Amino acid sequence: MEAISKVVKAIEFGFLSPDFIKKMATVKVVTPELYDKEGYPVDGGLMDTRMGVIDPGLTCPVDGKKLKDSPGYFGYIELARPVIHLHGINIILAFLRSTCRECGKVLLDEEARSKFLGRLETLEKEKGVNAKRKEINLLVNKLKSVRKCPHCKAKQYKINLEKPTTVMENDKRVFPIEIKMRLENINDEDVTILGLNPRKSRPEWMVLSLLPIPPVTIRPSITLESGERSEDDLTHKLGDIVRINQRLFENINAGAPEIIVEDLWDLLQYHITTFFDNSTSSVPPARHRSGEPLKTLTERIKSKEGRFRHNLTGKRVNYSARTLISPDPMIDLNEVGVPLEIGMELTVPERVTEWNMDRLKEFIKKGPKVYPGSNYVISPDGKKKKITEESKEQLIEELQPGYIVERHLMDGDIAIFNRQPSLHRMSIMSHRIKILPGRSFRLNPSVCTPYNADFDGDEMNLHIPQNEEAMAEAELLMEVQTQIITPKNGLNIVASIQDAITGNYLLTKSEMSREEAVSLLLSIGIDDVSRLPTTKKVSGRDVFSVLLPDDFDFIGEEVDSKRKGEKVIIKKGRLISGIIDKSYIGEGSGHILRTLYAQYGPNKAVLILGNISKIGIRHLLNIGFSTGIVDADLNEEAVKQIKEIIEDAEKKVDGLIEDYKNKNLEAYPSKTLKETLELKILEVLNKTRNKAGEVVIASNKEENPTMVMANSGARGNLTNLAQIAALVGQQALRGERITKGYKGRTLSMFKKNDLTSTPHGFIRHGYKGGLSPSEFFFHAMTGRDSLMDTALRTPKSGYLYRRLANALQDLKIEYDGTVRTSSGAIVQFTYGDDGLDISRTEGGSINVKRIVRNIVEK
Amino acid sequence: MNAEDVVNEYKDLLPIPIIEEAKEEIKNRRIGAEKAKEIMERINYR
Ligand SMILES: [Mg+2]
Ligand SMILES: [Zn+2]
Repeated sequence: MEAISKVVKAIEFGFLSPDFIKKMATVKVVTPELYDKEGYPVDGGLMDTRMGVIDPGLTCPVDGKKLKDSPGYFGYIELARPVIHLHGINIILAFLRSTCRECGKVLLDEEARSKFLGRLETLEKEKGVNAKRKEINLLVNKLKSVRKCPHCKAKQYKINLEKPTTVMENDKRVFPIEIKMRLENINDEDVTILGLNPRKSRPEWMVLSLLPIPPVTIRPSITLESGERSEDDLTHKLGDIVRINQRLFENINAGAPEIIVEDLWDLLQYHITTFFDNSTSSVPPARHRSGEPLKTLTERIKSKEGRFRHNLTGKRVNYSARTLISPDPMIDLNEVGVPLEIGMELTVPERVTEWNMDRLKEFIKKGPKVYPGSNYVISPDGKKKKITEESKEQLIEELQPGYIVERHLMDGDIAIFNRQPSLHRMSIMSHRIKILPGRSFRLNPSVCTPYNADFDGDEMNLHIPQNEEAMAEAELLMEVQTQIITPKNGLNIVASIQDAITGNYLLTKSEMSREEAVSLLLSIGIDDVSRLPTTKKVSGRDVFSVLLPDDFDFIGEEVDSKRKGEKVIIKKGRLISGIIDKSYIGEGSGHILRTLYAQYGPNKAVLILGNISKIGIRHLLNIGFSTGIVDADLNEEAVKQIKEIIEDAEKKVDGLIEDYKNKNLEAYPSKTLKETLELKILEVLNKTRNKAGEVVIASNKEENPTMVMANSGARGNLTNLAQIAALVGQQALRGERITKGYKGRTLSMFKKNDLTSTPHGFIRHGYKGGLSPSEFFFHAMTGRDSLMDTALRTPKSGYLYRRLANALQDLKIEYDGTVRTSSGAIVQFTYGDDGLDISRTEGGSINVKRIVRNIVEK
Repeated sequence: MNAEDVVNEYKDLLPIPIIEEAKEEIKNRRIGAEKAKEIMERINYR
């Protein structure tokens, strides 16, 4: 087939006229039989070869082409009686209601008619097609109550639809023949008034007298293994139509009673309706003998499984794999662990040259079952040959420059790795393959954040680029190291998480012998320890410094009061002071990583980040780090203090209630006395947990693992610990204490109108000590509330984001600095109104002072 | 070329507030042209 290249200017939709149906058809279908005794398609049957060939080897009798080159052709059947087209029924109704049943003119007098025509024209020009449509709908609604024709004075009647296709006039049925006649009576200009282009769609064409039969190529039959033929759903449906049509013809010709004819006619209408759409609510769907509904024309197109969403917007691809993911902190950040099983199924094509011939022959020699082997050889004429034990020798003989060998995946090959939903560009990055045992993809936990992945059953997809261009693009544009900085705010998104942070925190606080330090460094693959001090004892900072480039200078932010210790200072690649925690190597805060990336480039930055993560995890392994319920143990003194704090709070609440009852409470502005009381009680009770939290922290040693994790920013916070060890605190529903339940009380176990803390959701026990039944109930209330909240909000915000992204995706910055839409309309005169490229800032702004300080003070 | 001229060289590349802030900082710290160039390069690189 030769290629035709033209620009599509417009697409117009319309209905086929009977003339056109006849003209485009190659066959008139007259018999429901499909095949004769020998199994050949019957002439004039539904599988007539003139409608297309589906057997390889046969040539099309119409165009003389083979299966893949012949598009197939339409046929048609002549219907014994006209039948209404389901998707034209609303237009038919509109025409019947707004035109005269006698003379066929639109029910407007001459003056109104010409005025309306003029208005339509200007409306379409000024406000577009949709405004015109609206206006026409208004007119139809107005005309449907006109009871006298302004032209011939004939009386008009109310017209109703009995779904799906039965038209009633004054409770008397109007048959399609009559409908067709009335519609034919309408002149072309009146058709225009109701919004149709009469050259493309006349209303009477919506009452079918000929039915086009789609080409066999869109409804191919399948031959089962048993040799039996199984026909497509459409062919089944068409068979029904032809059969009933034939019976209708016979009955009419034999002069059968009108009742019988009408019954058959209705049956024909049913079959044709379900041929177009088998999922309309008012029609019982046509079914297979198995009870499964037939998939007819409309079902092929619409819904998630339809042509658009299933085959066009989304496609299945080859050279891809999907499986569970699991973590491996010891592989590099830009590596992906691929199971051997997958590595022997997916392939990389290598073109044979004089120089790699011998190497590629080795792959063929190993074949598909030995790793690293190969699965296919492609000859220069494009023929793909499977490598088997038998074909091996011959293929090796045959191999010449120009051939392509599809070899197994090997370490270092480039792959594209993806996790859905792909919300930003870091959801698809390329990694280097590392073949590993096991059945899951392995990834470094530091790239969990960009993919938003965890290991609770997440699966990911892997794609292997199949040519040099794709491989080069994947390598240069998509590799993990090029994606460390997110364009969202210019901060790093690839970062240490969890144990890696805890480990570095403890490492930079600790001291160890030089032997231990060397062994730690060696264990993560660093053998150059020349930068480690030669003293007997070295500090954790010294060990950390070995990972940094020896000319790296960095001054951290001033340490805020919450964090202990001094500010991080790195001079000439040595960490002089400060403790490394989440605010330095964590996601979205690691200014160290950002600076490394800017100064040393992506490759070095990713290497250093990988080493930092590894050394943290390794250090934890060496010193032993664990967490458990003992972390929440309290000494007697602390228990006593917490008890006092709670009692104190309760006393304060009692005092407030007393004041309220005695009218001694002063109301807050714009609040009632009761509301003021509630606010004050809430304030007191909320403070209680914080106070108890402080006691918990003070009573614990700094080495408490839960505290270490919280302090380093790795996981959890001190409130969590306080809730486990001391008290859970006040439960709030929509910012208020719990008041719902019985009349005057929350549960029947409480006194009526009790305003104290316990009946309103204050939980005075910790999780570890256990909650009382009423506390447990209140906790379940707020728990359920927040569960519902997240369950309802997540899809909403997801859809909101999707719409926003779709609306903004075509905006771009032109060379004149303006932000414009794809049609050139200006959205902003300067991007962001300040011209700042956010992806090159630190969290949205440029910290000039810090940059100056870094340069001056180094 | 003095430090201020160096900063002015970047007028077309950076937003005005950033230029102003850099000028101010360089003036306050009495930074020379050579260092100023280094600073402006770093700011612009981002
Ligand atoms: Mg998950
Ligand atoms: Zn009339």
